Amino acid sequence: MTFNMKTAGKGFIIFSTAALALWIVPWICAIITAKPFSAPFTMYSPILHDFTYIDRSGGKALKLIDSKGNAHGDEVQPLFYYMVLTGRGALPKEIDGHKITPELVKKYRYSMSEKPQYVNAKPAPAQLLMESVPVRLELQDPEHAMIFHKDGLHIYEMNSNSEDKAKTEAFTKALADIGFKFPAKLTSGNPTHRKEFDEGYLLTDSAGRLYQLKMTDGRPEARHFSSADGISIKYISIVEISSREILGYVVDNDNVFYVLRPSGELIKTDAVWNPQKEKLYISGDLLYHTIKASDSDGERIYALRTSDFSFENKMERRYDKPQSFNICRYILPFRLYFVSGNDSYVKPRVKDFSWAGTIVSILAITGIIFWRRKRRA
Amino acid sequence: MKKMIFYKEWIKTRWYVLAAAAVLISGTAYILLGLGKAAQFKGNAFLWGYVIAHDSVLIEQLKYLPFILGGLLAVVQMLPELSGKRLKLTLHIPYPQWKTILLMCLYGIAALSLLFSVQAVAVSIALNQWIASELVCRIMKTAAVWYLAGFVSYIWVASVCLEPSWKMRTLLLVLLAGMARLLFISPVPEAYNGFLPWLALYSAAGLCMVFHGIARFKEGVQD
Repeated sequence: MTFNMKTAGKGFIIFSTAALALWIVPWICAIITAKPFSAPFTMYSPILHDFTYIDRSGGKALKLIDSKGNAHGDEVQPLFYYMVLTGRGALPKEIDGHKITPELVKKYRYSMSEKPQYVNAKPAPAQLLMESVPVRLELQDPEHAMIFHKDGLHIYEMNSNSEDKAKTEAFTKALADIGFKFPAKLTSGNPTHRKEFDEGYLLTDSAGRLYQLKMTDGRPEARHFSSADGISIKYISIVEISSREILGYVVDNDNVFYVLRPSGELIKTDAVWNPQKEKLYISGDLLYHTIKASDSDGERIYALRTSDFSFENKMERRYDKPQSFNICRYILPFRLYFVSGNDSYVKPRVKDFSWAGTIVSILAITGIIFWRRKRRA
Repeated sequence: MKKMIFYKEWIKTRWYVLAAAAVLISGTAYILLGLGKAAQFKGNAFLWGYVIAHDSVLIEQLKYLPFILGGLLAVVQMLPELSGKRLKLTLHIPYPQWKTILLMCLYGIAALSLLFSVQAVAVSIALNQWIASELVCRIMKTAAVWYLAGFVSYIWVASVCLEPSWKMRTLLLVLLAGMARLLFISPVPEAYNGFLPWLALYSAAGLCMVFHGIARFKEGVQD
């Protein structure tokens, strides 16, 4: 028994040491050899009708480079640098027939981002539910929370930590009456008082159909978006921006990007984004939406017209990352790691398989075994 | 014989176990009293919001306590065996050696299980006063990996203590550092959910390192 346990212990220590080496050595190599890299900030210019990116090689002076390599000043992005241009008195009065004022620009200007790390995470089992029409007009911190179960939506009064039976019944009925199948599959809301207004939650039921739920005057207000029926939804995001022209974003299983209007109209765009693997950055203004989907290899940038989200332009950029000598590829068969930028889970993962590393590892292990046997002999 | 071995271990570690219980109780009470005050002054909604909107588990400050207590228990339990050739005497009692060592380790694991269970129950009961049971469940699932870290620390430190050679001890300490890094690598709630059963199995398999050390001790391995 002792011999067996000793052998098992020896095997365990060898296995653990090998796993530790496969995990830590590439990590240390990456830290030592890493070189800085950042993708240039790119936006669609309503003046040039072309993408421009910020070139920081010239020091503090702002240079915007278009796709042909021409340099411009901030006047080619008047809806992004509108405060600076307004200060200089250089904000155009009109662009392509659209009237431009600082108030209008501010009303339509917003940005949002999303990361796979947050999409691929286990969400909290409860969501905060705020009053959308507060008595004192300004939005207040939520006092209620909602938890979806198979039998309905349970509403809790948070301060007393008890279920509000009346609200539970009312909210469950409101959703059930419009065909909601409990529990919810996806939910998206932004329950904070630091916004102008509240649109509650966008949610999909267990059948994958799209709904909106909010609390107005303490009562449920639920609606079903029949425009999204038939679409296999894998991502939703509520949008609460000053212009009130967008209610949310929807992405289907084919990664097609949709825009949901407050009227319930669902607009299919030409943009493609994989929420599970790519980062998203949206910069919207009065005339165009620049939508960037990126991963570690590159990015796709779409320009869509704000008026109807029709296609305007697209560019793709492969990241030309500075290559550093990766010694691990020549000494280790693969790389072991436990956390990824693509999700929030800890689990063993393997990448960077290398034949050269495998051969070197086998030779090294064989050498060690021979050396130890020879020493013993 | 089982009772005698357990009794021997209890005699060795009773003061430490009581001290560990006191530390665990006072640490937990301190955190829970703080949460109670927050609930009293800012309302339960503050705690709900913190858990839901900030991905907090409220008891983050307790995360390293099981790891520290587990390691110290192993030191208190195993280090005396190395002084005055007591380990040799232990291995010469009329009982299978591997059973003796296994029972010693099981005593430590049982003691830690008792301490951690009491803490987990106390925390769950207290949190249930302020937040919904679904959120308490999420917090305790997140804390499960901290308790596993306590057992890992115990098993690895016990192996280090019973290992006769400093070279191997150093390697085991490096492995312990790697395990500690892995067990505390992510603060995200429920990040370990799927991996935790496999980690628990691997950690339990770590007990064979203790037997490896004992076998080397019997062989007379030295630096």
